[in-house]
Amino acid sequence: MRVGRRWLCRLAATGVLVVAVPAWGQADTARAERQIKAAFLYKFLGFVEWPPEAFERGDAPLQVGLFGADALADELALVAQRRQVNGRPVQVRKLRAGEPPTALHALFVGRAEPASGALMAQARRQPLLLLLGDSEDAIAQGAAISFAVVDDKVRFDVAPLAADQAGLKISSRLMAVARRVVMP
Amino acid sequence: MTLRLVFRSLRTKLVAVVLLTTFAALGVALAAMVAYDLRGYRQAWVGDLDTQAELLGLTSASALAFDDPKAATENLALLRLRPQVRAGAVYGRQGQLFASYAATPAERSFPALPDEPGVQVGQRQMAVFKHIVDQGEVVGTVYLRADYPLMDRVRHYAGIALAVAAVAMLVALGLSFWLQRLVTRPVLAIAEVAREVVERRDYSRRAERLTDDEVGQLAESFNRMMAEVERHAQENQQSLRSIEREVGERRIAQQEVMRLNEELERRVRERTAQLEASNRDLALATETAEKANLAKSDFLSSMSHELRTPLNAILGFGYLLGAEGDALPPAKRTDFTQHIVKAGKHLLTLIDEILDLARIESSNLMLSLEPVGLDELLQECRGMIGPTADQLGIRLLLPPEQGLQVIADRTRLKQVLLNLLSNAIKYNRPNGSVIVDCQAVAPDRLSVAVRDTGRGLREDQLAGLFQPFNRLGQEAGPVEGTGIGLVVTKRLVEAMGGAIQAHSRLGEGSVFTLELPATGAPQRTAPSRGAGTAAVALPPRGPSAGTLLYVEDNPANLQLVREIVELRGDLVQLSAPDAQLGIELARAHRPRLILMDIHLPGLSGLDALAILRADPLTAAIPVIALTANAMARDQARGLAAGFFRYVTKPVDVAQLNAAIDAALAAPAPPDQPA
Repeated sequence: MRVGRRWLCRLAATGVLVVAVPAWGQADTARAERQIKAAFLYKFLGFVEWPPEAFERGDAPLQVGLFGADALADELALVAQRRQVNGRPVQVRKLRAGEPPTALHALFVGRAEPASGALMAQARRQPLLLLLGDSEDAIAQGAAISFAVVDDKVRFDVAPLAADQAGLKISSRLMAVARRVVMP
Repeated sequence: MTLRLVFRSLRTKLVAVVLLTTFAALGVALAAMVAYDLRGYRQAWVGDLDTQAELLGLTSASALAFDDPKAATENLALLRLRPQVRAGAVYGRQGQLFASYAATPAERSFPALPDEPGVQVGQRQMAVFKHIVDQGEVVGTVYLRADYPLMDRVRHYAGIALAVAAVAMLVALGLSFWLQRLVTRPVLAIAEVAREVVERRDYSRRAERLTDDEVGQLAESFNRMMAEVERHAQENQQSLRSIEREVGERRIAQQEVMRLNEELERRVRERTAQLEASNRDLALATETAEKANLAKSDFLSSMSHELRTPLNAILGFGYLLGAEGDALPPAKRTDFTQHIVKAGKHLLTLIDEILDLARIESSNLMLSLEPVGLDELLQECRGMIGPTADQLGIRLLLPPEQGLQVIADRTRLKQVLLNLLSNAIKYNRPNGSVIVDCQAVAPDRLSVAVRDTGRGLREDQLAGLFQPFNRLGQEAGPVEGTGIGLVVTKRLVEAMGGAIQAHSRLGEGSVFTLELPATGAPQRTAPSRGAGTAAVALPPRGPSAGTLLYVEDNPANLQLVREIVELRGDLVQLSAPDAQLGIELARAHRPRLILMDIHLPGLSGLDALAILRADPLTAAIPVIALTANAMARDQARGLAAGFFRYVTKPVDVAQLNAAIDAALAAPAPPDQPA
């Protein structure tokens, strides 16, 4: 209960979820965490720079794929609804198992799924794809940004080199608020 | 008024202008600069703060996005590098305070809710609210509060401005003093020259041209003007001077005219006076001439008379001697002859004196003036006249010797003294005295007084004293005289620069006083005349045809006529020595006829005739004038006066007898006694 309230507070602070969660019912800690993560995910997109060749057009949508986190995908879709990041709409796609992470600009791999490792391994070499993880291990698996819950607080780590290898640039401002910036 | 006084000088005005201008320019410039600076300051501050806020917003955007107050606080904490920023805060989307910073704990105060974005400027602080925008969304608000020391800055600037102004004013003051000399010195020089020109009226002064600017032109114009003024002044002065000169000349001319007028008037007066004087002189001269003429006639008449008188005796007695001859007794013959000789001598004396007088009158008298010792001269006179005095028993008293000297002609002075002394002896009383006294009356003047003890003279006798032939009634007297001696004396004395005066008192004697220029001493003589003797001659005779009265003052003539009438033998003879007695005898005896001399002492024959005619007792008696006044004028006057006949001397016996016969032939007056 106590935690739930804090999460709510956090959510309010981010300001992301105000519209997305207009009616706040019986708070569920997991959901709150999910909502925060969705907001974070959405925000991460704004701090990452894709080269122009990553898009077919100037206003081509930013394709975000989520694997093993459907609920989060829903939340994210809700967050990104009618919003744009750097002038682009955000399209959220749920990835099924075995589905290749193609035509994506960002891929979030949930930790719950068995195929997550394989997907991570598959995606880590893919250029122009921002790989996002949900656990502290994800960095080691090649994720550029990975959530980490510390003291009931959703934080994240950043591995700028991973992004660099993918041909992406992560804003220093993001790194300034990251829990850790992992340099190999 | 103070101001007007302070700015009366161009110098102070200029300085004031410069200072005021400087002050104004400085003030405006400083104000503009300060304003501009303050505006820039404020803009810079606002911009700075805005930028700061923007930066803070930018850096805080991710913190807000990821709900990381710690990161935001760390970001805010960087504000400590900007000490002016006193406080800062980040508000979240909902306006809740997300992170904050304060320079000091005291300043930890923030608005509860963020305001609209913008700048709030207060007195001492400035606050900025700025939205934090991320991906086009307002995700929060940044609040910054900073010191805004505007007033300090203004004060600071004011101090600077004051100092700058002070320095600038000082510099301007110095500059203006320097500049005003540059500008005003030429002007003041002109002004000074102008003032001096006005004060001293010296139009020759010129202003020095110190510069080439307008003041220089002014100086040049001033000088040209001064030249013009000087020229005019000189012209004026010249015309004034010429007018003055003209006025002066006119005045002089006027004065000259006045002077000439005065002179003219003076001359007219002088001439008038001269004319009057000359008129007077003329009148006087005329009168004098008339008088002289008259005197001359009188003199001639007198002289004729005087000369005829002795001649009468000479001729008459001569005739008698011739006619009677031997018939006369020898005594009578001798007597007659003596008469003739005496008359001749008298005549000679007369002629001498008349010649002297004539010489004096015609200025032919030669005088040789020299110092003459009076003592010696008087002694000489005594020697000459002494015997006569002794003869008459007269004492001659001369003054003691005083050594006095007079300036005179010795001979003539001796003549004068002899005349006076002989007069004094002749007309003295028996045993009388003649006293001569000499004394100095002035340093260069001596008087010689000749005093006698005779009978003295009456006033009228004194008046006639110096007239020729006036013998003052002595004609019939026993004393011989010519009646011309005193006249000659007087003329001689005057010719020698002296004067003669006569004083007399009846019965006491007379004093004749000479005054002569002196180096030494005076002298004197004093004539005095005793009155003549008067007598009545009453010669009886044989057969009488009547009585004849003869009035005659000269004894010789009396005797002569008496002898002539006696020869006739028909007339009783009466005689009188003067007219007064004659008239009385005529009244008493009522003679058949009267022989009347005209020149008689006192009453003249003419006057006596008038008296006789006026008296009924004597009116009818024929009066025959027997006179030495032989001039035709006298004769006519005598006949006109009523003389029966006018017989002149020297007597022509036949003529006299004819006249007597005619008178006897006339009808005798009724009361004629037989």
